[in-house]
Amino acid sequence: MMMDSRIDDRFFSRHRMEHNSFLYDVDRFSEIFSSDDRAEKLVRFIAFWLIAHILGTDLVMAEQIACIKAGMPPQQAFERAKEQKLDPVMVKMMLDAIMNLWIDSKARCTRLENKCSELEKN
Amino acid sequence: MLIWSNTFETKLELVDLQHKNLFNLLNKLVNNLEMSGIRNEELEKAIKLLIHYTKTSFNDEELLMMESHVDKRHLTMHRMEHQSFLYDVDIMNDITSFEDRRITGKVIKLVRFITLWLTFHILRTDMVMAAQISHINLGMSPQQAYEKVNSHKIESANVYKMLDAIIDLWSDAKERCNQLEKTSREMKKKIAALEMELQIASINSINLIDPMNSFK
Repeated sequence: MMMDSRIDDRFFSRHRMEHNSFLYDVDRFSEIFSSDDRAEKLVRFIAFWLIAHILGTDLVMAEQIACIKAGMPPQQAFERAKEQKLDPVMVKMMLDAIMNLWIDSKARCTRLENKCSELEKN
Repeated sequence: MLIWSNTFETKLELVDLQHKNLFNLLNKLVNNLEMSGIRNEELEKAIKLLIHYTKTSFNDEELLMMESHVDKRHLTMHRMEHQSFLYDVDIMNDITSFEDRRITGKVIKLVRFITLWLTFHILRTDMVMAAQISHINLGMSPQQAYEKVNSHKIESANVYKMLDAIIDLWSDAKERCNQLEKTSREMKKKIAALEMELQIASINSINLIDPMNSFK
């Protein structure tokens, strides 16, 4: 869908990258966590990711596609999207979601660090 | 490097001054890193100064919020962000020996973290704080001010800046996790190999201790 509408490159590659990194991260969940933890952590991850993604990426993309379909050149649609003023509640939800993803990653780092210290003692 | 611009202005005099100073201290540290021949003690001093100044400015901000009677919900969340930052910096700064040759890499990571975090925190949390204080000063109740800031539309340029910063913070944390996982896998392999060696050695020593075995 994105390729059909010829959305400006800068945005397209970033959006693509997020999908790929999501698949990569979900894939790794099976390697990382034991089965008791895994389901809950995976659900949390997917929930936050979806919130961030839908709000942050797809909304802006939808706006651009609409403009392009109405005849605007992709570059202009992209520039215009950058000038929009955004709804603060949605922005907050999106940023909170990514913050939570960050916090969960940090927690995982801490667990891994503890594990490494224990292994070192052995 | 953090370059000051109007984007970061909260219009609260003390807060803006402290933020500008923080940017200066951070940029000075970056310059130090790029200077060849800089001694580790000097780097350590610069880092300590930056962290000390950050703590001071956090305290001043929290005091300002209390004096302005900012809604407790924001105050609590804001304070937690400050504490979480100091906690994370403490962990990253846990450089046991400044003789460590890998120190430059660690300081670079620390600088990157502080840069990203400051960008995100100032644009998001400090701006929200400033808006509430301004409303309260104009006569609104803390609760009204807290609720009102949720209705201001935000420049998308600023949203992108915050988004970039928080995504980078998240990416960096994931990258660190990946490194740690790699390390832990390698350690497990080493331990397994050592255990094998120990087993083989103990089997060999049993055979040595009882040479009479072969005569039975």
